[in-house]
Amino acid sequence: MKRRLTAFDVFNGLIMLLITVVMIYPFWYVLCYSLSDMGMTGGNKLLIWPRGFSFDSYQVAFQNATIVHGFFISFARSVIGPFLMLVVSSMAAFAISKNDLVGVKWIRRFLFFSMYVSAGLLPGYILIRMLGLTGTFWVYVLPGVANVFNIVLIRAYMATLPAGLDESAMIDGATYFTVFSRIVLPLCVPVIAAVTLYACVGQWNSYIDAQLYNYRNPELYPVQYILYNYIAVKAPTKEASAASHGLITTAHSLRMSVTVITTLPILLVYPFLQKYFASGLLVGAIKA
Amino acid sequence: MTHGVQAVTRRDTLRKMVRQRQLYLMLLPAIAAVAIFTYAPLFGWWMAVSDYKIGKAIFDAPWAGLKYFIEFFTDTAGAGHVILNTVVMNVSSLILGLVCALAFAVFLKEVRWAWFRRLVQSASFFPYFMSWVIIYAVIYALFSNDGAVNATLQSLGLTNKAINILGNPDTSWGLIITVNVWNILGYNSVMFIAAIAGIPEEQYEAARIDGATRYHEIRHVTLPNLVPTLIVLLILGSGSIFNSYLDQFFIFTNTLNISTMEVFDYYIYRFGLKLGNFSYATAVGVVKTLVSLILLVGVNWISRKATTQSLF
Amino acid sequence: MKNHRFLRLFALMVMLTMLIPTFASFAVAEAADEEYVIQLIVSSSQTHARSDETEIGKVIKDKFNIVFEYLPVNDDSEKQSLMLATGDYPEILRLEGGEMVQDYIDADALVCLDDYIAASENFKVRYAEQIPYWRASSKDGKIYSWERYVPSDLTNAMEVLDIGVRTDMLEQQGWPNLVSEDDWFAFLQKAMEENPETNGQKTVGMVLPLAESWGPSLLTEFCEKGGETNDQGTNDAVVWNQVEQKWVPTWTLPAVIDSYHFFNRLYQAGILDPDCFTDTYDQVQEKINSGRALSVWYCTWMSTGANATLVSNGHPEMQYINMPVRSNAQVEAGLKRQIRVETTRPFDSYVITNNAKYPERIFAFLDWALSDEGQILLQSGIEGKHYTLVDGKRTPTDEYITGVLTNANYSSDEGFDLASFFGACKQGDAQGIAYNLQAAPVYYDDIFLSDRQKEAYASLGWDNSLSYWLETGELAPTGLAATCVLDPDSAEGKLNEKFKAWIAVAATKLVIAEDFEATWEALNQEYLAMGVDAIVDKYNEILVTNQERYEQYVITTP
Repeated sequence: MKRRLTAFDVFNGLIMLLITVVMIYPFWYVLCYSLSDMGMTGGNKLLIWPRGFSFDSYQVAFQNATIVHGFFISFARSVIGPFLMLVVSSMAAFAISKNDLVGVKWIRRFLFFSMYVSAGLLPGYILIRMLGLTGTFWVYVLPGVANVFNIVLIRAYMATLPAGLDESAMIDGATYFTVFSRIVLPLCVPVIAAVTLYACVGQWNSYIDAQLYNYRNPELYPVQYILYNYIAVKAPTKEASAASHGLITTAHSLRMSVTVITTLPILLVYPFLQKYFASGLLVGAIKA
Repeated sequence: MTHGVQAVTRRDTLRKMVRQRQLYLMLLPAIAAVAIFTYAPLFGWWMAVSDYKIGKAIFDAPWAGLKYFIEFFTDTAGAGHVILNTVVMNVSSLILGLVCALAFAVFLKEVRWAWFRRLVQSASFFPYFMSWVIIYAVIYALFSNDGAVNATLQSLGLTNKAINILGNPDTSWGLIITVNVWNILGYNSVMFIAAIAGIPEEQYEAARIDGATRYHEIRHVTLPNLVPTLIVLLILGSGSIFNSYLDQFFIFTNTLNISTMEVFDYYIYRFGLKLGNFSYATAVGVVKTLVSLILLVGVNWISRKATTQSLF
Repeated sequence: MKNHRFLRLFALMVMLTMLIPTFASFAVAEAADEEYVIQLIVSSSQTHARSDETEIGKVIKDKFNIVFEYLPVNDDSEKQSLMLATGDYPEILRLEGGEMVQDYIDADALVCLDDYIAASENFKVRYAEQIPYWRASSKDGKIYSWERYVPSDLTNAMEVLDIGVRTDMLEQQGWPNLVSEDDWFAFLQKAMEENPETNGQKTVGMVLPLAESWGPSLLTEFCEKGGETNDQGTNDAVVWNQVEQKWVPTWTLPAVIDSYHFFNRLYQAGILDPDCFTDTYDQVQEKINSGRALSVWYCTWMSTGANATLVSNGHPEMQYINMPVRSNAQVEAGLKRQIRVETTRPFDSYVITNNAKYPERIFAFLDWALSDEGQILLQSGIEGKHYTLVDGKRTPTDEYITGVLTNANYSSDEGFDLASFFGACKQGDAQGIAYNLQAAPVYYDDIFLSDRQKEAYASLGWDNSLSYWLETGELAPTGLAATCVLDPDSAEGKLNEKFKAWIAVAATKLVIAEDFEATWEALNQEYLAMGVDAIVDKYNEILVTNQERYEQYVITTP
């Protein structure tokens, strides 16, 4: 059903345009800054286009020999991590969405409270070491396989599905697993897409696990961690002054380019997931 | 007689559990992972009540009683303004962040052009990827005394005295809340967009047949369908209103605005957490966990009473 | 049958879990003379993964069959205590502060160096001055660590940080030899009036990064510009009186009050950057790089990068040079300046841990590195490539000079970075030429100053870039001052933290105050109420204790 273009549409469009500008401008600023000539940036003129043009800061960033390998590690964890998380978390969400499951109340509490219980950095580290996970790739993905936040979101979504869908299937002799994989999961695609996005972003962005558990294994550094070392360099004190002869690129424009390098790949993933957010797509498809 | 009934129910329960064995099997990996990675490390809470010496085994540490808890409460006594700052900024950021994301998702759905909808949706995610150092630099470039905004306002004659919002105690709360809402809008809206995608098209069709306008559709179809998601996210967020991103406050706190900018985590970091004093740090962690759980149970209870919806 | 897919997934999970152990690395038994790879935590981003990819590293590999693998990790004291708590530390480690070293000693995590030192050839000679201090600072009087950048001599390690100023401004006003605060005030005021804009951007008079955690202590720096004190300890409630060898309160020191007053004058006149309180390092660097800032307070090292940028952007005339400043009272009194020379640097301690496979091989290498030959290789490089001998004196080659001046990664490309782990002594060889040729005054001015900077110093009538300070300063070895540290868990330690937080805010209030005297009086009431004398007493008490321990070891150490 096609509708006429109304004043509301135009107004709404303008508001969205404004939001887009507010959201993108800072990133645009960062991009322009990273491409500007040194010394041309800053000051009281709005940066809407690079001043001068130079790839120097990108060159410096890519001088790091391990960076390409870092992309590979980041990519691997951003695929394997969300996949395992989805398998484990969606199954769990399905199970705890069954109100007649014996003990479900306690299982929910057990899972739920775990989000807010924190033992602190050290005991977790000791445990990871005891499990032999330090110095392995698995330390990136295993601790996060049961993401309770996502379990809760998926379960809440399942609760909105029409009741009785699976009961009729169970009467027809299907097992819980068939109901889950054939009926419930396909209906959950929007929420699955949402948590997949969260998980991918989370995996792509995280570097603290590498910093803690894998710092002695450069072959396992994700790109975020390699580049984090550029961003997090603490402001030099007097002691740091000695080494700074002939420094061509300041840390600041390097940071800007690092932000661009690490952000662009994950932003490219988003459009691929977007079709799963299209309104009304799924229920219609199931009906047909 | 009662004995027999109990035996029957127990046998029924067991039979039911056997029938549900697949569900338990599906739960197993998640339960195991949570038990191992979240609950097992709680053995470390022993450190809070003992004098843990760094580098020695945790359970060899001698009993210290509540020493570190008392120290923590002594350290935070008189930090009332810090608690106030934390709660104001975090509660406002949480509520406004979710409400704005909800509104954004609703109005995004009303956008007529699919390509534009996707563009806006992608754009909203950009800020989430910027580190606080970078965000600070951008805000500085725009809003410092010499920044583009103040320069423009002055050249247009709208103000004669520039205000640096980064170093002004009157603007701290507004600044942090705005920045947080901006930063998290795209991230939060994903859940609402997913929820909208799950609304059956029939509901809209039925509304249209009844002659509903766009306003009525939003009011009577979209919004009611989003309330459950909103409540889930509110409850989930309520457990962390005493937590702040240290990275953020390291950079946003300065000597001009510290009275309204200092937050609990930053304060504890400066005055309490001596490096390597894991006993103290653990005591702080225990207190924060307890406070979080109390808040959660409270908010969940309120939600159950008020909306009949609850998480556990 | 019906739940095959489920079983398959489950099996996948189990298999993944079983794979884990195979990913753990396992060590192969090595003979004592085989290639020995040692991991080193380097804080900056390294361009190479292993030392034998560099020229200097190759020499070490040939000589000792030792290779260093770089771990570009941002290590801080938090990381260091976590590493200790989990036992997950590498073979050689940098540790921040004597307390951290003591924590490692208490946990039996370090290799005691005493036995090795007894038989060493160079360690005990090179560190003769430091060894009693090091013994005095460990509970059992044994040595577990060594430090970077010690020992140092004044001529090869002089670091004076006053005001970096744009040379074209000096030229505009006829190359005045600025010293007193009045000189600077008048100079900057005039320069601001005559140059409201720089390259189309608004000019700012003076910049400094007050939003950094260490920023507020920059506002007290007059205390080191002449008189009895220097800036040892200015981040605390105390400051070191070099002449009387004791700790005195910072807040009430006349030079500190003068210092705040100077900034107050600059602020009220609009010379001090109004954004300075929200400026981090990045913002300050940006303002110097573009030449917008007429001067930079204390952080003159930032101007090195800025000068290169100014040249490449076509404004070589704007380059910054370092010039002295003193309060009016200090100019009048004309006392010598106490130029700090660090006797020990406990915040830069290096240790061999018990994770070391061959500690004796590491020490053998360390001992050699501390010889003349070793320091020359690590800091000057390879003869014929990085330096040549002219009349028996090390002279930098063109290749070296070009490398240093044009390539930001030159030190890491060539392998000079290794030096910092093995002494990097700030001394000269038999001819008195610094091991690090860039620090040698005989070469520094000639080679590493730009033409514009040379021109500026010549126009000012200076012999070299350091001549003012050489004439007006005297050597002030930190000695025991550097060994005085408060226990952070003690009452005094906690009070000191409160004081630091207070003085940062108080300093800000003073700088922006309309009535300086009244504001100071009001703040002084708050100060008196805090009872900071307890901190000063505690510091002096620690000083006495350390003095006694030190004397004990000075005598017993051969």
